[in-house]
Amino acid sequence: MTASAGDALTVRVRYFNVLANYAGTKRAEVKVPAGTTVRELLAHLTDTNPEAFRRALVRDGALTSYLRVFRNDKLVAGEAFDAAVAGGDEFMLFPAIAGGAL
Amino acid sequence: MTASFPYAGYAGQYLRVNLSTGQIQALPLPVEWAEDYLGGNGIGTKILWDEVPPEADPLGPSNKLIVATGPLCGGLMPNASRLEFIAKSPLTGIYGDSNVGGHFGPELKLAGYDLIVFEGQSPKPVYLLIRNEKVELRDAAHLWGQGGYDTEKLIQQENRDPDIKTAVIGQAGENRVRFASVMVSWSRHAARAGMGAVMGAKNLKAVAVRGTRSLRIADPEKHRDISFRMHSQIRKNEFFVGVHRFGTSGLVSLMHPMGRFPTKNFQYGSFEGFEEISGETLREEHLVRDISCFNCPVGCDKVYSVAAGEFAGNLAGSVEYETLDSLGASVLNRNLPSVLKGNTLCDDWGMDTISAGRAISFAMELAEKGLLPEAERDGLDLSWGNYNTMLELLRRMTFREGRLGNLLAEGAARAAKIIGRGADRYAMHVKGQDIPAQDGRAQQSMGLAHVTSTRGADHLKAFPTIDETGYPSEAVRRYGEQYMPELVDPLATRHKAMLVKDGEDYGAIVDSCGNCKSGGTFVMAEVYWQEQAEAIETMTGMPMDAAKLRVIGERIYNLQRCYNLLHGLSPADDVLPWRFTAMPSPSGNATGSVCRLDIMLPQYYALRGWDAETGYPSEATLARLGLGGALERVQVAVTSGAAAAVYAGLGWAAPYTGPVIDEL
Repeated sequence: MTASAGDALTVRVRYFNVLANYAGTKRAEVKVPAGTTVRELLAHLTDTNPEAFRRALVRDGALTSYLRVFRNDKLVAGEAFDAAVAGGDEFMLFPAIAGGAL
Repeated sequence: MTASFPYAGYAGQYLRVNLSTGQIQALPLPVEWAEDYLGGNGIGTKILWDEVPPEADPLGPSNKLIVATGPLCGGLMPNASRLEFIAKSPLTGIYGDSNVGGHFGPELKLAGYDLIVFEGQSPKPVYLLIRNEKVELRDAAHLWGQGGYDTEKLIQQENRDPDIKTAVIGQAGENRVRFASVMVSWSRHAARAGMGAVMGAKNLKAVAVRGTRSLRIADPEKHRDISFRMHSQIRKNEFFVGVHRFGTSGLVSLMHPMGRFPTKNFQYGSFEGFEEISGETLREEHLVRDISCFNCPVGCDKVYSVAAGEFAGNLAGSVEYETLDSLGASVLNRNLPSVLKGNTLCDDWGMDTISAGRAISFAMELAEKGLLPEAERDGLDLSWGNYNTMLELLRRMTFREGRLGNLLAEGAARAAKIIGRGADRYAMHVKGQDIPAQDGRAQQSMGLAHVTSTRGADHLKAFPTIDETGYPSEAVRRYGEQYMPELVDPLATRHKAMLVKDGEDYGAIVDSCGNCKSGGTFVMAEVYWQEQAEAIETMTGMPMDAAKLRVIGERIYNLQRCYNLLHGLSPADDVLPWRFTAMPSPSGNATGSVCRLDIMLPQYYALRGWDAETGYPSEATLARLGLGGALERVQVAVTSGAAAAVYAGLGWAAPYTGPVIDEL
């Protein structure tokens, strides 16, 4: 995060499934410096949330692929992790889940 | 197991029950069935191919119902509980099957039988009671008309044994509702494809079993080693923490931003009221306790209750993601207690919640579009979101009450044909089976999977979860780096034919062995081809490796395809309704996307070794799979006109595949 704190942006973060249990909340408003990338935002969230949250998502110092992120209803993948967030963005965070009725 | 059967893990014998005559035979399990088809889904397919002609009425005495376990069922591997029901489907008229967990499968195996073949039609209601070598048909007149919950309880009570495991039908099966289910132990259902209607048509109310024999393992030390290893890996995998906590209901929240959560009969892929019916809300407000199937380290099943309000006192089990969609978002209903009530009614009366819900959303859309006049609504308010109408229609379908209830009990696809006047445009099905809550516009592989499924629209045949939300590490572990990144991109078409084919072949193996697609074999496949082969070999003593297993999986799937070709199916049936291929998704991550079958299906045919024009498996493909002669049988059926005659009687309207009819 390179921008000064004076240029802070506010983004909304929504936690689902076990991540909400680990974070202890379903919703949060997070202030980050302007220029913060999605990847940096996620690193910030893993650093500031309780240890259980970090244990679920960080392996060998890096975020695992078991985290799914939607930014304003679009799945974040590849280079989109390196894009800067914008004020008012909504991020939805999910742990690994998939499947259907059996 | 019987002394003469060469493999451990199997009971070595099966039951053949002629319901017309009352004759019950315990027969040796043919060794070639086990070697060529393993068990469950595979052996059931083989029996259907050999013994049930395509001309057979699914609700007539010529249809056969196969209830089958596999070689891992009842053993040490994670969730070795699954049981298969195979028959010609009353919903589709073609190949049908339904898979279920619980505890019945292991019990049947411990009673000394790998499977049961039901033939004919009983002149009066009966149930089959199995207690090890003692097998008898019992009068079921007093059970006829009872719901599934009471039927299970009454059978246990009258036999003074609470440990008896049952597979029962409710009133929907008795009334031959074409999507009737079979309840297998409390609240778990073999729900899809109408297997409950097959039982009802045979006057077979229930199968009850108590088994106290033992099951031999070929190499106990090695089998224990791989089983414990798999249990341990599943327990350590972070993925399964969420699966245990929320079950499949946890998917609701995720599918909303993906645009993959069918809403208003698939008009939309996101539901603004999703949080009111999400897995998180379900657990917070209604959880009673977590439960699990036999030998399962995951425990995705739950019991829920409603404490207050108009549905206070309702108890519901196994509330799945699909039900939260079909009785929730699909009918625009955000009242969660009413969804739980609908779930309980479908469980007790014995109906597939997917097809039941789709029949209701189909009717609601017909009303919206002016295709169902007031005079044909039997006094019901078919407005979107009216949960009282939803619950009342469940009742009327079950008891075939009134014109509309009786019509919808045929399923949306058949009802569309009966109604005519363009109703086929709003029946969301493939080959007569309703599309589950898996929108192929939001996940390309799933659209292809619905089309290539041998039992009509279905997510579970191929179960292509890899690109559902995309887990790179899992994708690379299974398939290698060469397929990345497209393989995990839900909107990409590249490599999806490979993904679907692999899933179908592997799925046929899982469904033939008796373990679970949610229990570590598919989503996060701790148990994949290699581990499955090792488990089979150590359990049975049958020499097995991944390559051999792949051939068996392909053999099973191709034989199901050939069976459907006998019914006159062709590539013209390998289609999705217009809403998926012509109408860009308006929702979430899928916004602007349509399902590109035009790209994926030819690739799939090529991978399968199927002819692009006829859809037939090639002679070389079938010869490689040991299915020589199958193609000739198909060709004779087609050229003689027999296949076309069968097709003409299937009863459902082909889905409309033309251009967009009406904008949103």
